[in-house]
Amino acid sequence: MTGRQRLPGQRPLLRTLLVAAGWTVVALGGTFALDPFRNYQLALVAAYLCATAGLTVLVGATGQLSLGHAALMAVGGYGFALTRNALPFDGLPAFVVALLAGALASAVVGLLLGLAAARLSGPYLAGLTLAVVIALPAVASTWSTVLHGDQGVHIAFEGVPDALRRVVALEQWQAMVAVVVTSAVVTGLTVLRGGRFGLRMLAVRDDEVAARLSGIPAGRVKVLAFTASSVAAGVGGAVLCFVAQTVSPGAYTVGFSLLLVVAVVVGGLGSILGAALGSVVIVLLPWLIGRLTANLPADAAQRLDGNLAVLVFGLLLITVMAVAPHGLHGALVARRRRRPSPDVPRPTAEPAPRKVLVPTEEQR
Amino acid sequence: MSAQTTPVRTGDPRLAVRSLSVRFGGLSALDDVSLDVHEGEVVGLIGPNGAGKTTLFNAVCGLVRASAGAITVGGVPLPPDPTRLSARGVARTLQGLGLFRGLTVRENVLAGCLGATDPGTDAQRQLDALDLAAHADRSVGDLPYPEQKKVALARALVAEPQLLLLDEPAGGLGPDDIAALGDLVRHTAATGCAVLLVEHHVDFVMGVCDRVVVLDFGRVIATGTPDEVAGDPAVDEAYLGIEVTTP
Repeated sequence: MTGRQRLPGQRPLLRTLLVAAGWTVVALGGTFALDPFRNYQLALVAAYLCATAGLTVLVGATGQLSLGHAALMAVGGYGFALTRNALPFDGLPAFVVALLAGALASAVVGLLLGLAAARLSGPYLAGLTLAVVIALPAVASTWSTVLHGDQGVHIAFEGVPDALRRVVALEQWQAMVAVVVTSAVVTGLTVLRGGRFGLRMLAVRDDEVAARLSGIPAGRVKVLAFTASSVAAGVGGAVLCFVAQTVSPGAYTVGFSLLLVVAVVVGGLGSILGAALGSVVIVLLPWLIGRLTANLPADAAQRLDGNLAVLVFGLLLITVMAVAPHGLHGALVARRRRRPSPDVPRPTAEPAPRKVLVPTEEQR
Repeated sequence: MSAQTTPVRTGDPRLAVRSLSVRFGGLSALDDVSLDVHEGEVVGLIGPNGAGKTTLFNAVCGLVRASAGAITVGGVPLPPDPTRLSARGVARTLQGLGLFRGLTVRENVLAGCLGATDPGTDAQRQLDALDLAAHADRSVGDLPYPEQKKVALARALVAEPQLLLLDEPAGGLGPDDIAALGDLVRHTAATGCAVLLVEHHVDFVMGVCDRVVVLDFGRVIATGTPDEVAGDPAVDEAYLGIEVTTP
């Protein structure tokens, strides 16, 4: 008896894993070339990428718009922190157990939201998810004995493992952990999107009735997609908590949630590479703006602090949509397609003789 | 061309609709409709706009809930869930094509057989059968309309259904494409598939169907072979508004 065959064009799992392992090794090697602050930024990009990759798969493949992925990151972060603090042991086992707990917490919340999301669409779903992120501070205050209100939950400082302490700095270690975890998340999402489930998601996005008539359980596909996307965001929140050693509602505001959407749209909806580009943009752009405004008078710098970044993100979004509607990844793909192949002969500098239509004798 | 008299069918029908009624609030869209479609038979469902043809399709597919009546496929009641139709050997095309615009031709056909062990081979076989293989990797939206219709048909046929519901398959097609569609429908029925089609193109219906059921205002007003139905004055009145006078 033969098992289920791959779809045409579907990359073999082993090849996907090898490609992921290759990129992970490259990224880990890259951490040795970066200074501590750059490694900190790399860890942030990796944490954000978990959330944006999940979000781009959700929005791009199923058409479900979530404005509340920051809240799902927070759920993962709280799950990680509370579990980590409750564990009687330290080190890698504690990290793994806490990470799984964060993923589980976000899966449960994502499943509940997904069940509602399967019955909603467009602005209604966006509104529901936005309400969740707006409610986050109130939830943290209401259960302040556990979630510690606005202060959030802190985790015990855990440095570099003894075996690596001589060769790896703290920020580099955090970046390495973030890269490995993000690689696992992105690989999982790539496999999910590339197979039968991915095709089901796209079919549901394009025509739900036709998909159902083709035997695709649209509701279940939407719920699973939302849950998978939530887990990715939750893992991102856990990584962020690991890097920052704290999780609080102030880090997961509506503005940050919208920023995740901006990253996905600017990078290119549905593209995981686009999500990576978008994550780089939302980490580097505020830092670049901060560098540019650093030399301004203190009063002007204070007024611009925070506000200028929002303005620039808005302008960036408008510009990218006007110039490259499919985002940065879409623009890169289009550019690659336009580039002539080296095998194709280039047109000669001398123009071809112009053809002139001359009427025949009969036509005359 | 079909026979002159209604053929006598034996055995259980593949599709049996019994006393089906569908109401939308105070509006009766279908009222006590019964019809059968047997294995290897092509039945046409015709009627003026608003007669209830697509509503009947939607009721069979579970897209609208019947207020009364029963629908069975192979003698077993159909679940009121469209996603379980394909597992029961029922496939349907939609009036508005219902293609997945963001997918290629091959992916559209694959979507019709994702539950199969080897959907790639099944899809390729269907693409070859309908001469779509050359377009397999093109975006479905880039194809001309008749080719898009073929893709929708290929997706419905790829799972080798036992009952095929075609909603206006000839709409928007030229004479050559309609002739080819007729051949395809007859060929599909020859494999044992029961075909029920809704169509406004009367010549196509008369040429391809074994039997025709005429609906008007949600009720069956005539049923029989194409010739029997064509000569029925009630059908003329329903379609053309001709007042039928009896001597």
